[in-house]
Amino acid sequence: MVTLVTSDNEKFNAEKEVVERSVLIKNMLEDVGESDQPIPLPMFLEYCEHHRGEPLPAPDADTSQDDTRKRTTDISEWDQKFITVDQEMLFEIILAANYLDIKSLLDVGCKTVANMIKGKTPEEIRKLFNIVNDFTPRRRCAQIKKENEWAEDR
Amino acid sequence: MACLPIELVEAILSQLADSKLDLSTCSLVCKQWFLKSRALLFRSFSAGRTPSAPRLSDPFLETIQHVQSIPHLSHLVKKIEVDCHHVIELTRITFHTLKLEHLTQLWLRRNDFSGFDDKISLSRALSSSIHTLILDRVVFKDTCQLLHFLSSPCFSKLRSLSLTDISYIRRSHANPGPIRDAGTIIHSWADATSPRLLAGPKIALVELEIGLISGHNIYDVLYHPDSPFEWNRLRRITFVSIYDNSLIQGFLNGPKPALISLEFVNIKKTYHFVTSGAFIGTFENTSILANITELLLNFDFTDEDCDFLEYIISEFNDSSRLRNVGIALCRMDSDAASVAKAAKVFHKLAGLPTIQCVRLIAPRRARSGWSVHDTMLGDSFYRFLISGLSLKIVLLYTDPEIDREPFSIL
Repeated sequence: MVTLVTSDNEKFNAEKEVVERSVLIKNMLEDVGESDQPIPLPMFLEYCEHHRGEPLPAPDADTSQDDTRKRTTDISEWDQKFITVDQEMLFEIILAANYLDIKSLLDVGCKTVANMIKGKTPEEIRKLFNIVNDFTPRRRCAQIKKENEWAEDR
Repeated sequence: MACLPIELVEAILSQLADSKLDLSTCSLVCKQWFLKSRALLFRSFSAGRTPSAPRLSDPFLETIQHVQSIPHLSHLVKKIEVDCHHVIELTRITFHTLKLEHLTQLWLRRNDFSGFDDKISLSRALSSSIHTLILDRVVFKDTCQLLHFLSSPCFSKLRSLSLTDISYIRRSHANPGPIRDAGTIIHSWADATSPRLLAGPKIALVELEIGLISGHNIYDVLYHPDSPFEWNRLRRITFVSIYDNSLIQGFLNGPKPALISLEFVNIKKTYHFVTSGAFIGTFENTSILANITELLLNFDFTDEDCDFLEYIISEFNDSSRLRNVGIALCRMDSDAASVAKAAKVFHKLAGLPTIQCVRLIAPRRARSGWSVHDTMLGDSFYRFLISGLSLKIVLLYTDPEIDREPFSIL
């Protein structure tokens, strides 16, 4: 068993096998060894508990984001329910998954945001995520748009 | 969104890699999104996979030509997928049009090189960084011409090679011609190859994907000590849709010190796993048996094969390194005795000391011809099969692979 401490100092116990879904925690546990020292970290147990036993990505797997390989933005039903949170919490989950090095959770978070983007206009996306249009002058956008047309249906 | 560092914004945009219209939109959102969205948008060009009549004034080639002529876009094009419909002239025009300098992946479908020179060599782009070459349903004159093609200077950095459905016109039914042995082919290739190329470093493949290839000596040619390839770094072999025992066994022959992953995908056959080349090729090669960490048996695995899986398990001893096994369960019988037998064998497999995960892969949707009752029975069968078994056993539902992307991992 491992003792986890949340940022607001709440302690709870979890099985080592479950928390090792986080590569960061796995490495921390290896460094700490058999010590009773508690490890502070944000809440992520529910996700890891549900995905207990599923294969972890190989440590030597290519993580360089090979963008030319096929990918899908499908998310499993359970993950979809898990990630149905407000936007602020969604970004916090993405940040935590990245910090804790939990690739599958990071993927679910990124896919969820990607699904929010799909089918929207640039203006709708800016509004949704509170992004400022910093293109100057505006005609730059027209040129980008024209060039993009060469790639859009290929 | 402002709270996310740029690498996470890029990870989100990467999820849209297959949705070009959305990427185009994203490139117009703000300057931060522009670079990554455009890199993804122009990264990959595909002629599409829907059958269409071949045209020499192909709009796809015109698009590529235009994009590659614009300096600030040309370097963004990393992957090109072309389909020449087996028209020699279209193949010729394609290779006069494409610039290979910045590419990392080249996917050639239905190209016909049989009208090209015997010593075909794509040497135009010596600085090419192509690391992945996929040849699917491609026609060559013979194995020697294929070898000339593969040893083109632009492929010197190749790491992943997929050869599926390769045929030769000099080995057609109408004109079978003599089968030349590997040594003769290699010497013929070497005689016509420049000494500088022969003296240069060999192509060190890391991944090899093999589908049907006519001519049974292809593995002897590629594995020949004087071939342009060296095999000490080969980590993964995938066999796709092969029912040819000798081809599988031939590619599994010989020492492969770095080979750790072996996959058999969509092996359609009229016999079962144990009588296939996969079984004999894998389990008679002690070098493979001792080193592999991943084994994916995406066969039409039947309950009869379970008996032999037990034999396989007995061959893996304490010094083996096998960690992950995948087994496709498409045709398993669902009677109680079969389920009990399968459960016992899978439990035994998961009990091997080195095993981390046994993935049982079941079709997500009903196969054609299945009734609703069969589907429900199938579902409960799979659930029963893994209930109470080791935590190392995982059930995965996947869609039947209709159009598999080479080098994708299940």
